[in-house]
Amino acid sequence: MNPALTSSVRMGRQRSMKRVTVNPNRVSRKNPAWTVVGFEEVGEQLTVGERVVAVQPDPDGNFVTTAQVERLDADNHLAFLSVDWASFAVESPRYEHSVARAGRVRFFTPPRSGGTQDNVRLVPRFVA
Amino acid sequence: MNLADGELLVGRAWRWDAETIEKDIDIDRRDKISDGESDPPAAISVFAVPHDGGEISKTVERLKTTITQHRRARWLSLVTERELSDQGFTLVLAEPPPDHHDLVLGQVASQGAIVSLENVFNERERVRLQ
Repeated sequence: MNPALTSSVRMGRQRSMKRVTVNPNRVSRKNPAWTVVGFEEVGEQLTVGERVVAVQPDPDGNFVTTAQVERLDADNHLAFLSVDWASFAVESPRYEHSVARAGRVRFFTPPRSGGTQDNVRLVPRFVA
Repeated sequence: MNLADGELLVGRAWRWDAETIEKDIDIDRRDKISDGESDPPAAISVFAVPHDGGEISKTVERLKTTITQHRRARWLSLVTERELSDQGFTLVLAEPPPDHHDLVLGQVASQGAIVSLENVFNERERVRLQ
């Protein structure tokens, strides 16, 4: 698949994933590679194996990456996540991905809401 | 920044406001209880490396490298072990991961202690990590 298309689909998929605020300071004692969040910080029910968007809110642009729910502790209301820390990047506010190619720029715009991998709408526009 | 030989340089990734610290103490305690501890003290996670007596800037770079091996964040507040101990806080090595410590506020954290810790992080040097 075209790398630009792959990237756009990935962003569209993220759009439909739950967003979980993570704190880079937290290290779980159960597994130091995991970080931990309280159920009350998520607001939505998570399931083990589910992939989510991990967010570090920032006034200069949210810092986002993906994470996977590894374990849930219902007694202590905790979710344990493995976060792809190395891939944190500033979130594009318009979810636009542009590719400069041969003197022109192509824009792909995923749907604004409710998108899934299967129904991502690609809108190419060309600028001379 | 004054850093004695062997003294720990401590890094706290943004955010370090009192509300966030209080939440981190609660989550840290629940995590440790989940892991089998019966009555853990009030603490938050930090990374810290000892100063080797050379240039402080090299110790700062070593701390940044240690942290970015495990985590990513925009900003990092740098404080010394002395600045923390002067306010009554202690550091306990809690590896793994390497160089990870518990910053202990006490058996129970008072609101005054939390605000004091916020002030320590706020008033010291901060560096951009990413």
